[in-house]
Amino acid sequence: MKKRGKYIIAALLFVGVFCIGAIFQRYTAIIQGQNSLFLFTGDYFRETFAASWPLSHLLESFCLQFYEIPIVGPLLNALAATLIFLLFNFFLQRIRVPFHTVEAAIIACLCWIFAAIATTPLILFKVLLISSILAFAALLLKKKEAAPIRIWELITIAVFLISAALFVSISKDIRSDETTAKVRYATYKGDWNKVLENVTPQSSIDRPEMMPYAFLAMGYTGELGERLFTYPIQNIEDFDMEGIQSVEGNYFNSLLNYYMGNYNEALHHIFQYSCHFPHGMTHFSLSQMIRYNNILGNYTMVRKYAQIVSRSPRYSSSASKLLKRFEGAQDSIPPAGHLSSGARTTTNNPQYDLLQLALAGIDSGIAQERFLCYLMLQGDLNNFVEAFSIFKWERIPRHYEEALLLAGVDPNVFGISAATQKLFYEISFAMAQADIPTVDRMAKGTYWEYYFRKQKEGAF
Amino acid sequence: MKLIKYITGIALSAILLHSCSGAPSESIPSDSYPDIIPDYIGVTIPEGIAPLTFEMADGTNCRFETEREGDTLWYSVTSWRKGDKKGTIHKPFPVYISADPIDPYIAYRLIEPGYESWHNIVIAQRELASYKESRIVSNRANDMGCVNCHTFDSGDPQKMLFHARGKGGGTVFIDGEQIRLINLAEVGSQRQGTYPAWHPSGRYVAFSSNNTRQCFTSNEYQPIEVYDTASDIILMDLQTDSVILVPQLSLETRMETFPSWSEDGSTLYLCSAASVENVANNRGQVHYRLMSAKFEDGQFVGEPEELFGDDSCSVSFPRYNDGYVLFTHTAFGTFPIWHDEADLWMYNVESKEAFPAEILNSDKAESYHSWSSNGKWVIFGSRRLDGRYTRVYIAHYKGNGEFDKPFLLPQKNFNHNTLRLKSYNIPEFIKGEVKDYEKAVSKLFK
Repeated sequence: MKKRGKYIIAALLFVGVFCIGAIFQRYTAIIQGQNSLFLFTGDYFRETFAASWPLSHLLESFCLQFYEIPIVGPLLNALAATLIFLLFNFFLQRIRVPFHTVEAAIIACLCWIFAAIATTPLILFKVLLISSILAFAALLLKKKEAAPIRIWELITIAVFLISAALFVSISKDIRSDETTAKVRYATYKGDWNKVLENVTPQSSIDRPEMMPYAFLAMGYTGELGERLFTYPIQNIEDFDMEGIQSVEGNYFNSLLNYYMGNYNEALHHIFQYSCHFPHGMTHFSLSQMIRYNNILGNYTMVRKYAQIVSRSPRYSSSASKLLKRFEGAQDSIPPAGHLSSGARTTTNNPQYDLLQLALAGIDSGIAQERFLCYLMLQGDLNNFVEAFSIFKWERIPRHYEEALLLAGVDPNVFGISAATQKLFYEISFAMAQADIPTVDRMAKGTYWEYYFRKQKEGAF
Repeated sequence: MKLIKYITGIALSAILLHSCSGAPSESIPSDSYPDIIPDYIGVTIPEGIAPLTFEMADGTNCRFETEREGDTLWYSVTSWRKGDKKGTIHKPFPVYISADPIDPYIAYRLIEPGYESWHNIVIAQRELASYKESRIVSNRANDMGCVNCHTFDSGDPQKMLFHARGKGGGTVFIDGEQIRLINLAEVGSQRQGTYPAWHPSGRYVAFSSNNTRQCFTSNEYQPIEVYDTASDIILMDLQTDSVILVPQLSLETRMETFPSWSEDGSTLYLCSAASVENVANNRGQVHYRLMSAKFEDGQFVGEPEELFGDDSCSVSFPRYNDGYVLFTHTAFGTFPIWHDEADLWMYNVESKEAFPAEILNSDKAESYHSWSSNGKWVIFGSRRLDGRYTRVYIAHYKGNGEFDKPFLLPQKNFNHNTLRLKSYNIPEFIKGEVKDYEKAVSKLFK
């Protein structure tokens, strides 16, 4: 125990940080990796050294670029925490601090906790650098025989380790961040089932801000008209993610516009997204810009961004393949004399933008359904009926039937199902009887529930 | 120690071997010029500019030798593919050296060519004789707000102004060691200043005061349109720090912008367009005319005169030199950098005729431009390299409204132009090196 004690503690620390990270912060690490940037370019180094703590930022960015690979993030965090423990232990032992192993373990545990709750694990790399410098300096001091680790020391270390592990595992904020990261990543990958598994009507009561992800997923799976009002949607603002200036809003809107086929706006939002990060750019933004420009036929920009990405150790090989693939590709450019003055424009007003999108000729089922949902959420039933009639339907989704009946259309002309008609007439009868509990019970999870509530609030 | 020497020796030998092994020992002559980027073939450069660097457009390797014959520098380029035993020695191309001196420095703003937001913005300077770039001020000085519209008093590196937006923002006036922050919106006419023009006397600064907006296209090659919903001209007297709204250049029915003085300060050139309702949707109807207004004894005299323009085009950034006004010509609107059709044109003040400065233009946007202090060189921003990131070009002015072929601002490695994720904004010549004002400006925002 005398000599191997610290290594056993280091191993336990490593396993603890890795396992807890892999289980509870796996997606958080992936998103951290997406939001990093490390490039071997002059501008990158100039900008890094113009900021405070340049070396730790550099070390962090270098490591973070690999976090996008699943499990690598927790692995590197575990490695950093373990090294902090070992280096501090070495330094404290050399300067003859009593109970140095306990103190080093406490420092490592605190770093782990702070890194887990922060946006990035920068603190791990800052402390790692400091501990490396101290350990290096301690090499100059006289070697001292290590004292055996006593039982109470072991118990104290175990308590700290377990407490840190428990904190990271059960912290509400960490869990919530992990869910957000999981949903964001699933949206990016187009894994709609995973999005809907993580953003349920029940979970949305506590976290309504996640609902737009579910609505986007349902737009893709064709369930928007079936399930929208099973979610606790209170206002039209809950439907979309506002905020041209927020990280979450830009991330979401970039992907939303991509899935709707509005690539100019996808680029707009990814540029906005990039501005939230230290270099005004991230690996994720660069990869998305390559993706969007490729679809837009702007291969010059694809090559430019690929060349930039090729300066990152993590992405250099994939960037080189990309460059080879797009070598000599000719841009799709408009004919000579073409002017943009007649083009439809967007204005960061989602409903107006959706209309413009339709008028611009972007044929997107998601955009069409979202437009209908906006009209429903606004209580604008006349325009809803008009817009609804333009689109073709094999089977009318439930909420649209509910809106159509409320608008007073002839159910037979529109082909509204007998079940919805029956429910509508029953609710109408209960309303006529002023039987509010029955109306509330029967209308639960329908468009009518939302409509009646907004009517009561005086919104419609 | 021996081991270190041994390892260093092996490493150096390996590097030397690698750099020599690529180049073929034999070359076949070709009677065509090499296809290089940037296109430096036949350009005119000033004496003493930093060496031009370039690459083969097809990505093949190249090396070159130069030989000077009088005012011509001949570039002899040999290119080869990796692994080829024989290379191609291309027909030597000329680069002409002008005897006209050029200002030693240029200033520009580096900013992402983004949309509403930004992260790092730097107003930087570059020594033309070398590749040295240094900071004048960055937006770290004003808490990551915007810094923009830098301008110098006749290129004097000691006298400049720029806007620093954001909390507690305003216009920063620098005069040697004296640095002042003035919020123009709280002075005189209570208008915010936008595009500045420093009077040659150094006493006055004319600003346009613009209400600028942007919109984004859905399904269109040009992604952004930046437009004004209103704009007027204001005049600041630096002796009294007073600001007045110029009545004849602030009509309610018109938008006046881009002020620029003639060399003697007797005329203000500007652009003016009829106001349009719902500009975003009617932006194709916004056509700015080139105008001039007489200025005497610190006052504008008479009504402004319309010089050039009609409903088929729009004029931006008029800059007077030697009887001509160089301006940016677009089909419509007021923000040419997002317009591929934007080109540089010349207006002859005497004959009242305008014509494109063909040799300066490309199929992508050419936009902001300014003259050197002796009027022999012009610097301008162009997006010809990739269509999105503005780069700086310099052209020699031959006189009589004619230019020599422009050259891209040389970099140590051409790929710096590719790797740099920033656009060059508002390139201006300066007569000397500007101090780093970062710390001094930071103090204004504390």
